[in-house]
Amino acid sequence: MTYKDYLDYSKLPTIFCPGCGLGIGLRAILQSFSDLNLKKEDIIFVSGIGCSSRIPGYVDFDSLHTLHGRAIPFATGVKLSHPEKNVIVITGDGDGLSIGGNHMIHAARRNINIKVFLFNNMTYGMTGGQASPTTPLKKITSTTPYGKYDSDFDSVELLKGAGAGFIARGTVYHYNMLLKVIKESLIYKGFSFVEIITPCPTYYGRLQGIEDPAKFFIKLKDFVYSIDQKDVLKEEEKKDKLPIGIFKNERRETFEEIYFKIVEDLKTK
Amino acid sequence: MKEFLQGNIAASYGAIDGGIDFFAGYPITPSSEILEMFSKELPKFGKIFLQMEDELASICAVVGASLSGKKALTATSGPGFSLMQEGIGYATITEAPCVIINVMRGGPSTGLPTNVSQGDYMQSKWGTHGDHPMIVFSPKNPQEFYWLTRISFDVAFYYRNPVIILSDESVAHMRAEVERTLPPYNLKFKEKEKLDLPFNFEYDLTSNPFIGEGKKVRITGLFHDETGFPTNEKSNVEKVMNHLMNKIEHNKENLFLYESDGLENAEIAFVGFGIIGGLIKELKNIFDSKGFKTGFFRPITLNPLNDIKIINLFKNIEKVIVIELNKGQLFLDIKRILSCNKEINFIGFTSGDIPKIGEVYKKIEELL
Repeated sequence: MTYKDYLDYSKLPTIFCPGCGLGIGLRAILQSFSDLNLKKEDIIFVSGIGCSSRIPGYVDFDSLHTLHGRAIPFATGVKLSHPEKNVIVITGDGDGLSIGGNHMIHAARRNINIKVFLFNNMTYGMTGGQASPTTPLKKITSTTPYGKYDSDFDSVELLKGAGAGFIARGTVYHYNMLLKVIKESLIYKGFSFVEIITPCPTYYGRLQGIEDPAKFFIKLKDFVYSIDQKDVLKEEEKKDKLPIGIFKNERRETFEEIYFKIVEDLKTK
Repeated sequence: MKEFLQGNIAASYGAIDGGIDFFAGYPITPSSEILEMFSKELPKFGKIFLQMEDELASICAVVGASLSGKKALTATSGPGFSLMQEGIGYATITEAPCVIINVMRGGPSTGLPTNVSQGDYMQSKWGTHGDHPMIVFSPKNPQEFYWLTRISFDVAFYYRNPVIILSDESVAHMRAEVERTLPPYNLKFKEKEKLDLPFNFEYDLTSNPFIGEGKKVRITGLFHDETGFPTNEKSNVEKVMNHLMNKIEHNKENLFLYESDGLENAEIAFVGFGIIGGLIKELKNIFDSKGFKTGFFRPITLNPLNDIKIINLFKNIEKVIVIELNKGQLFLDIKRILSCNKEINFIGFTSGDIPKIGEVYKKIEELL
């Protein structure tokens, strides 16, 4: 199967704006399924509300488009109902780190084997470009006309603190590296978190003066550095930039392993 | 075999005997015994128990499990029930067959955590935003709490709709004799046509696939077509809304459970729900012995109410006295249904206690 076999062509075209990076991200996820030979009946997408959360509508397998911020608890219910399936959460920076932030940290702590792909476009695209928890300090958005007063989350550090076993970040510009990271996260057993930085030229870009998608993609390239280069690069070369790569890949007992072990033990008592 | 059980424990056994697969909840007084009971019992049967981070997560996990075809339940109280409303609305538009137990305590806000009230009557019917279908049952004692919880999964799956069991602190914490027997309700469940698409808007009740069955089930909280894909096409939106409401509206005769006595020969009717059921029965005995002609009526199903049935039951009644532990909520429904030619009175108690019978007696005397 190719990545195309996972798409429902009858629902295309997507609602995404020209120049949006979500299509590239979706392709990378579907390519990973193809590379790992995942069967369509073994995959379930769960999303919340926002631009990225509309992705599940376009795939050719089970999908659940839920409430704003609540994709992870819905996915928790689905996963424990079907522990053998690949339950994958598609979310965004507003959905997953603002309104759904509490569920994110608790899911990391709980370590149920669900995969989170968080598309970070640093804004609320669906509602018109308001500031999100990942909009950098002092940036102009439709709710920070004088520059953003408050700092942004570093999702990687947040998830580390919450105890996630697999943490990675990529961008839609660095496609091959993104593909590798997504595949690793799918292979990992336990809760995994991948942040995918993606441009929103329509709102965020326009307010930063970079509405040309091609220019925005170049900007994205310069906005990040590889975590492998961390010790080689000088401090000023890393200033105001985000590292990409795999930050943590450590196996620990999952919720399911612990829970179903108790179930087995109780049976023999 | 009769057992001496607390209401919350009886309800937990009801869910277990009804075939519960999945529970997710969050601690809150006065419903926590249900959470604790399932934490102990469900792993023994290989079923899922989850203590979530809050009530938002609890209801969403439960709806996710029910859309995966599992018999899923959560239990909460006042503030938690308020937090769950968005998830309950999602369950109505996605036709998720889940069960929510709300053990009423005094409100608003944190209110009276350890005391009884019936202040969530309207919220249980209309708590989430937008027009929506709802099935609400209310038990008067631990035995009925057991029966209603036991049958709730069958009702939820048959109607593909959330079911709310509106209990209260007194029924939940009262200890009484309970028999783990089949519910005595005459609810009919007919064979439904099996369809391949996740949704159908042509017929009231059909059997549609769940997530995980390999049928490409697409689900959204947006208005959607029969494949589950979002659409705001006008005629389709009307169709979905009519379907959601009709599946309950067209079946309210089957869904409407109640208890009544003496209404056909009475002039005065005492009306109440839930914990008030015992009180109005006793009031009938007292006032009948004093020469009054009285009867009582207790809806067990709070939504949908069968208006025509209620009008017929109250045909000969002249005076109606509604008694509730709130400021008049069932009262509003009774007024709407019966007010054209009857005197409708209300007596409410909101101190957090069940009123003593003498206290109620005095208030009724003032009305006679």
